[in-house]
Amino acid sequence: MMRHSALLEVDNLSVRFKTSQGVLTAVDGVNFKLDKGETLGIVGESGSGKTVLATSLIGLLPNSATVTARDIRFGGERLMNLSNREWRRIRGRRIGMVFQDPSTALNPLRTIAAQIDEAISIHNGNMTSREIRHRSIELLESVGVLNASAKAHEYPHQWSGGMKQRAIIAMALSNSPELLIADEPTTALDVTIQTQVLDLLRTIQKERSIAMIFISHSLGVVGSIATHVGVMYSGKIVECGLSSDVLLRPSHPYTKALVDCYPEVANVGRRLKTIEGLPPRNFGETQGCRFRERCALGRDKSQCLETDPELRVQINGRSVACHMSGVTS
Amino acid sequence: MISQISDTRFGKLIAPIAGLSVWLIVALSANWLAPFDPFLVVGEGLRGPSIRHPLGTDLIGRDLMSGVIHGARTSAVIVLGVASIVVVVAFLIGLTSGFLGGVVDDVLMRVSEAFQVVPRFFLAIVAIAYFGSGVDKLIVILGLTSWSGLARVIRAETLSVRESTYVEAAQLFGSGTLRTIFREILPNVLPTSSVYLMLLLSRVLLLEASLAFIGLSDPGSISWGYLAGSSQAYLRSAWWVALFPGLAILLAALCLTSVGDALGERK
Amino acid sequence: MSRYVLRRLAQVVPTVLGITLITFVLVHLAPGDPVEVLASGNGDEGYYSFMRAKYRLDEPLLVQLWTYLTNVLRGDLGTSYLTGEPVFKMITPRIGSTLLLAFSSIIVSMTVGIALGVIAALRAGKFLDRAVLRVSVLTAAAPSFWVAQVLLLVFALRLGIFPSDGRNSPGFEGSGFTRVLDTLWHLVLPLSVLAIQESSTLARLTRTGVVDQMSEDHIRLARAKGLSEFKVIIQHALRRALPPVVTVIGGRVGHVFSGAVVVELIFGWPGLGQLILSSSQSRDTPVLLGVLMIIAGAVVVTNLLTDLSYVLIDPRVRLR
Repeated sequence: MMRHSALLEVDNLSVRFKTSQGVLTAVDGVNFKLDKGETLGIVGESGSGKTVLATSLIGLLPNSATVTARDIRFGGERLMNLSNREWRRIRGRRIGMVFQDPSTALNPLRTIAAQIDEAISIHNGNMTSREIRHRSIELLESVGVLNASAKAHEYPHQWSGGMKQRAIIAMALSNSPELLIADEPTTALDVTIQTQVLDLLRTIQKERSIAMIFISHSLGVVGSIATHVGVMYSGKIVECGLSSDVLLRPSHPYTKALVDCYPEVANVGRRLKTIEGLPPRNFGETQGCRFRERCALGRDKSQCLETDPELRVQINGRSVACHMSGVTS
Repeated sequence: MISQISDTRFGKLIAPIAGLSVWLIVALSANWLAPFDPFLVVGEGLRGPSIRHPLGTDLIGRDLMSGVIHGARTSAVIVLGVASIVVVVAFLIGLTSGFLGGVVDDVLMRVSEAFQVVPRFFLAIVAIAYFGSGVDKLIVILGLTSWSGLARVIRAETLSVRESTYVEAAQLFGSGTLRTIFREILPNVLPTSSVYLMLLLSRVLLLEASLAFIGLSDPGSISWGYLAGSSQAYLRSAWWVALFPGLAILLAALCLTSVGDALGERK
Repeated sequence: MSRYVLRRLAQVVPTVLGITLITFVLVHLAPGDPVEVLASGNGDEGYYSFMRAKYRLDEPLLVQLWTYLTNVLRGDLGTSYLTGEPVFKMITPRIGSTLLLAFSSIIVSMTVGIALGVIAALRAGKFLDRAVLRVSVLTAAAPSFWVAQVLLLVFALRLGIFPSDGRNSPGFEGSGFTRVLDTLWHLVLPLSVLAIQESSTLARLTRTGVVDQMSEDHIRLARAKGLSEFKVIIQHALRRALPPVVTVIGGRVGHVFSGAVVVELIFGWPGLGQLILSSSQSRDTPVLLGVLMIIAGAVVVTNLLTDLSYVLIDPRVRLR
């Protein structure tokens, strides 16, 4: 992952929200790099900040959010403090986004075709409406929608969840973006459909060699599609590296615990474990490691109590944020 | 700090409730408060606001300020009277309909629909023209034409409360039907109904004013609408006779809707 | 959809009938002998029985109702107790003016109201939004006759910009286009009174609906496509916020007609308002019933139109 200059470089990104109870830190000092052809899977529980992270990369956070970073570079361009107009050039054109729930993401009052047309026409003012419509149908066919030219004139409520998600993926890819952000794209779908959509995304990876950020709470799903994995806990990335590495030989206690929860990723035959407790919400300043209270290793260690571990790179290219890394449980 | 207080639900209630209290006090003390008898000619006609007549006089020389003060009483009587009728009828029908359901519910709802379709203004015109325009008749007519909206709201709230499990639990424990209604259903129905009631009353006030404007008011009592209506013929010469009564109506209606809005706000 | 449309159309007739029934019964339940009231106690028994026979007032109520309804279907609305004129002839010259006033107010207030609501939503939380809200609350509490009188005083009597009376200037001879212009000139003030009140309500409703939509997922997707904020609101948020607003317009038609009556009286607009007033004061039942039926019909038809437009907007209803 450490190359000359990657497509997306995120350096010390933090997102803070102004709330009635104080300042909430949803994303705290996140670093990563992503190159084209790579897929970064971001895994974490609800509340870990993964969706906020994704939304900050496309500039769609509400006004109560403050985004700070040392640097965010996308294809050489600085992605910080952009105006609305500048964001609009990037959204839908250089960065595409796929959302979680296909049934609420589409406007029920307009046809699928019209909505895909819209995605294209925003960034292609010189195309005629006929050309645009032709392209929309092509896109639908390329994501595996059968009989696209007829079905495109239907309304979202007439399409199944899987088909709708394909349409949304088609929309996100319509202007050949360099980066695709998928926020839990399969979570709201049936298991059988999940596989189909994941297959589709894998095909897209192969054929287009775009960079992808794939967010999920499911290690199993992430493992099947990501080249690299970043584990998020309480707003920080606690471990990241090649997915084969991280998932098969997890270093951070949290990653280990997560892997233990997934029988298909961990060893066959071991009992399913659960991680007790809930991730904390970060109001104001925190001290020490955030995972400490749920950690079998560091619960009573003074070092874990006092200092927040930094993400350090190890020899094999992996990064871990843990005082106890190197200690086997 | 003032804006902090006024942003709370309580803060928003202070001003309109104060307004309503003023209205009520003026209504109760009209006979003492008013400087003159509103029906008597006490000055020169068509005189603008002056120290003797702060709101001016009408065409034949009656004091407008006294007229407005007595008008407050008439409106208060009518609004309170209509409120009583509407509350009784709407709660009876709404609670019964929502609680019993079935055929009773269907029939009652059809009846209330029939009342809702006809614009109340026209129904009232017909009723007043044929039954008379005394204050008592006005109250009955306005009350009987206005209950259906509130009945629907009460019915809807009753239905949703009835579905909830704690009512079933209460009934399991043996509390009778009437007790169930009073202890479980009413407290939940009250918040939404009181909001709706306030808004309804302001509409009733405006309706009564419009009817009085076109001459359908009790000839024995002064009504704000009547005062405004009587000014129509000589509007050019006496703008104050049109402006002040209407302003009083606006303020009164505003207080009613503000109370309703403030009550309806989530904490 | 056609089933829904047919069902709605079928509801029109019984609704109008129901309204007629209620009014008819109400009128005939009233105390006092209509004939005596008409004659103001000046007649003698012979005159009364002659009048009763002429208007068939001695027949049982149900028979009277039946006769009335069958006559109406034949186009005969009866004759005035007062003047003996056919009710139909009294209504016809006036109905156009009332319909013109009512429908033009509805159209103007829809346009202005929805536009203002969108603007308020765009500037949610800022000055313009709060101003729209405050004005809306004030106009809802103001009696329509007060608004009318204020406008009349300021713009017609004091400033002399608009005419204060009637539908056309006195002694107006022109026809065609000039006549239309003259009518429009006279329409401005009465229409403004009605439109001010209706559009502020609609503005508030539209604004709330649009703002509620803005936190929905499909808005997020639209923004993620790179769509400008303005287009997001118009193409996506407004479309979804519109149906309930349209339904409310239907519900307020009765209110518009009520307001129109008062406004007509203040501005001397030659519509049905004057007729309602005079016939109710003199207990001229056939005229009153006739006018009320026409108005009820207009209200019901407008309601129907708004309900049907809902079907046009929302494809989920259409394709069932």
